[in-house]
Amino acid sequence: MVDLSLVTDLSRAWIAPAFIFAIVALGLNLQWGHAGLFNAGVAGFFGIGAYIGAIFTTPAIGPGPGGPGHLGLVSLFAIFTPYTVLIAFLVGGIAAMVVSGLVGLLIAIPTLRLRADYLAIATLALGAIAVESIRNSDPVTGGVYGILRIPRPWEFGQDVWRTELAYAITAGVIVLLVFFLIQRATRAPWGRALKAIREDEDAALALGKNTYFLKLQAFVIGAALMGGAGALFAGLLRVAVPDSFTPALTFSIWTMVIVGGSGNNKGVIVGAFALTFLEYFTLRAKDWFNLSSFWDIRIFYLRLIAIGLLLIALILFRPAGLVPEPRKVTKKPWILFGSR
Amino acid sequence: MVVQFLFNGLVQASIVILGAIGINLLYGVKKFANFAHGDMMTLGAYFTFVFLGGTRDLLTAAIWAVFVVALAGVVQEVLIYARLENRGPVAPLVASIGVSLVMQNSLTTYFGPAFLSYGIRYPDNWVFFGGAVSTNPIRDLVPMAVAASATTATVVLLKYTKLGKAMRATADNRDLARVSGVNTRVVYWMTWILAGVLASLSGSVLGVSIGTLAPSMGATLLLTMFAAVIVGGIGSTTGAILGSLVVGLSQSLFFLVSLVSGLDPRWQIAVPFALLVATLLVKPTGLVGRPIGGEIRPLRTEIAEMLKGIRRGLF
Repeated sequence: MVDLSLVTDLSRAWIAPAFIFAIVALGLNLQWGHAGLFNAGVAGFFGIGAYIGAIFTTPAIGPGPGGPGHLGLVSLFAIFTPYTVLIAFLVGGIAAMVVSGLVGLLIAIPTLRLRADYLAIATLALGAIAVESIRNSDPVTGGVYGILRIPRPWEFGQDVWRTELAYAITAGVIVLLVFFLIQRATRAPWGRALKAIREDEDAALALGKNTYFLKLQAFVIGAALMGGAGALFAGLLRVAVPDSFTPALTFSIWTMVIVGGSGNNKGVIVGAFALTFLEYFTLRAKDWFNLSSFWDIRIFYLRLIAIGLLLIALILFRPAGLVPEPRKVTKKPWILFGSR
Repeated sequence: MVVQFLFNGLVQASIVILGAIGINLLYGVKKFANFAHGDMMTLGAYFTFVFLGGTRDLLTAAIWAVFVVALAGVVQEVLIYARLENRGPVAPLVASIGVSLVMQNSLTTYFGPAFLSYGIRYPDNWVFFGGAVSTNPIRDLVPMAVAASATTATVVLLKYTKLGKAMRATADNRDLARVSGVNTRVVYWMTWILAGVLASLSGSVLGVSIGTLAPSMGATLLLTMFAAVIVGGIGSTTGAILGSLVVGLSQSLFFLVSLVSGLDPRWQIAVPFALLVATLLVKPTGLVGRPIGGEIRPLRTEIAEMLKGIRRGLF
């Protein structure tokens, strides 16, 4: 007999978050790994997505903590069947992607023409502002209390492990889908043009590529992926509170991408699993090692110190990541001389 | 009342100014945006707290803390940033994120996440101009005095000393400075020391002004400081000063507007962000900034480019 509580715990606290962060990391990898665009506001896009998803799906439960008036698509269909929740969930996810992508577009238009670090500063500011705006717009987002009781498809009532596993599998399927799409897009001429921009923008421009528009596409698609993952995350936690979307989240996503090797889509997913396991470990360490209450509080900060040291060490000694992006040499060198 | 709010804006600006000048110096000389600068301020504030336990005198404690933070700056330079010299602007930026995580969370691990306090007893407010301005001598005037004197000293140092000349030369063109006999490595160290001194001072002053210390106190100001640097113009000290004044004053004016119009005053945090985006849209070089690397095309061209791209398909 398998211990089912372990299944619940693993899928709720490690597997499902790892898949969700893998989507975010794939989005960031598209921006940074493939196009060389530095996004320091990942948590902002993720948070916007989470709240848009939550607002679209969750029915309003009246005034008071956690009860702002939402669209509540679920309640539009007079009866709650699993299918109506699924439809609301899909609509919420798509809306989250659209809104995050639009926000990405608005911030990218003025900054993409400048040096890389301007984009970094602007997105850092955007991340901070997005979370502050969420915190301050009480009527829409529930302020510091957030949105509670976010519905989620595939509920199995008493069988908690089945509910959690189903959600983790859903996230996994989405990761596979996103992975194959991105893998295909980045191998296609589109992705190769992005790489050309990353390596030498002037050269790409000289070859007649519309570098500004290509960068814009990569940034917006990446931001949309982060938003969609946010909606999934809101469903996983069943609550959306502003405190989930701190800069520390941005930086751990960055570490996932850099550990996995920027530009390497497979490596990035592995990085997401590794880093999320570190988080799971710090969550559960007190049960496993009976820590004193002093370390019980502080182990979270130790995790962030470890992430910081890892970032510094990687950027110093393994800038291409633990699993570097494989160098591609064309098997048909003559295409270099042909026309487009 | 308007005068009072302008005054509060100056107090706000005087804390931002010290950090903004440091970020700007590092950006000019080391050519990267230091995301750990807010945490260097926090480091200064916390070390002031540590030394306060030994010396019982805030001024002495703050001076000792200055040494620690300056040393921390040089150590960072030697261990990390010196090795990232020819790797473009993003590699040191990522490293500075790592430094920020390490600093902030080491402080939290050691001191705990709760608020600390210097335990100052604040005197009664002073009243000027027949009640137009009411101000606390320690909470408001000390930050302004420290900021004014430190800023003047920095400007004098950059303008009239040999070191300042070497720093400006390195910022302009590193290789040219090097072949002209400037020891750029020493210049880098001195830049870190100067930035560390200013960051530590602003951290201590921030602790004095708001009365409490928290591990995230500097990091929350990072956005405001970056906004000040970009509004004023990256790479120019005058720009950092002007930018801090603009950001500080507009934040306190927003407070006034929110009082009058009934807007939620918590949106004050959006003011630096709005100024930052507006600057990037209208004049990316800032108020007095010098041209930044590469050619900047007008926004109109970029949007036309985007529309052209949309019409023609993906390429």
